[in-house]
Amino acid sequence: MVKGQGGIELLMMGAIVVLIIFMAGLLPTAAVKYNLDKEAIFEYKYNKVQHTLLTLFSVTHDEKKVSELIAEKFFIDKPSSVDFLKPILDKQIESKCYQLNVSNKILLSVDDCNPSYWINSTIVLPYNPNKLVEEIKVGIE
Amino acid sequence: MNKAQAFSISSMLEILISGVFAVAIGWLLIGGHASITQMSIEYENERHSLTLANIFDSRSDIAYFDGYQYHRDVLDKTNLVNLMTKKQDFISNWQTKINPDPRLSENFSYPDSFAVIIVLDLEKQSGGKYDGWVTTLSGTNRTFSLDDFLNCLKEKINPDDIPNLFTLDSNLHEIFKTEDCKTPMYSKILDYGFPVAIGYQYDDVHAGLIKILVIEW
Repeated sequence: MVKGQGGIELLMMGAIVVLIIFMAGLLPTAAVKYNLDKEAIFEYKYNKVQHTLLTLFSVTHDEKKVSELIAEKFFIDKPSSVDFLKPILDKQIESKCYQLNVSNKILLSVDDCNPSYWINSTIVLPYNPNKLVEEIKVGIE
Repeated sequence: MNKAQAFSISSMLEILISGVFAVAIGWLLIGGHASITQMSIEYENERHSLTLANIFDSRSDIAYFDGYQYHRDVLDKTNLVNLMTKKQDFISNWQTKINPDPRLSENFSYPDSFAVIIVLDLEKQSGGKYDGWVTTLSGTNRTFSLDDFLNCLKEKINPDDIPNLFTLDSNLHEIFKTEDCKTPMYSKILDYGFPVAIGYQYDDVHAGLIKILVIEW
C-alpha cells in the first residue's frame, strides 16, 4: 500500500457512510411529506367534487332547476341546453377541467381534460317511461 | 513516515469520522422528528379549514330550509345578510368588521384560531368584483392576544387589497398578511374555495364559492 492511501480510503468510506445515513434519514421524511401532501390534496379534491355535484343539483337557470335541465338534455338531447353551466363550472373549478356524464353519456366536457376525481349519484328522468332514474357522474381533475 | 506516526494519523481520522457520524445521526434524529411533527401540524391546519367549510355549509342558521329539510351546500341569502357582512360594507368598514363575530364564533371555531370566511355569488358582478359576504371568527379559548393580532392586521393590511377578496384568484393568506403578523400556521387549501349554491328564492339559486382562511396558534 502506498503511504497515506489507507487514510484516504478510510476518509472516502466515511464520506460514503455519512451520505448513506443522510439519505436514509432524509428519505422517510420526504416520504411522509409526500403522503401527507397527497392525503390533503385527495381530501380537498374529493370534497370539491362532492360540493360541485351538490351545487349542480341546487342551482337554477331561468327559474328551472339545473337537475331538470340535465335530465332534459339527456333524454331529449336538446342542443346546448346545459351549455350555460360551462361559465359557472369554469369559475368554480380552478383547473377548468371537468366532465358531466349521465349513464356514461358525456353531456359536458372540456377538451384535453381527463378528470381523476369522480363522484356519482342518481338523477330523476321524469320524461323517460322505461327508466325513471339514471346514474349521474361528475369528474374533476 | 514511521509506524507510530501512521497509526496516530489513522486513529485521528477514525475519531474524526466517528465524530462526524455522531453529529450526523444526532442531527437526523432531532431534525427529522421535528420536521415530521411540523408537517403533521401544518396539514392538520388545512384539514381544519376543510372541516370548517363543510360545517358552515350545513349549519341550520346558514343553510336553506324549505319548510321540511335543510339543504346542505345551499346557503340562504337572508341568513347570509343577517350573519355576515355585505361586500360594500366590508370594503368601507373593514377595520371594524374584521373583529370576530361572537354569534358565529361560539361553538363554531377552533380554539386558538382566527378564521376568515368569504362567500362569493358568481352570478352577480359589479366593477369586476363578485357580490359577496364576509365574516371572521375566533375561538373563545385563546392563548394568543387577539387584540395584538387584530392591531397587526389593521396596520399591515393594504386597504387597496380588500376589494380583491371578492375575486376568484384572491390569496386570502397574502391579503391578510399572515407572514407579516408572524402567525405560526395558516391554511392555503381553500384560497380558491369550494363550490356552493346561494338560495335567493326557491326558483332563484345562484352558483357561488366559499373561501376560508384558518390561522392557528
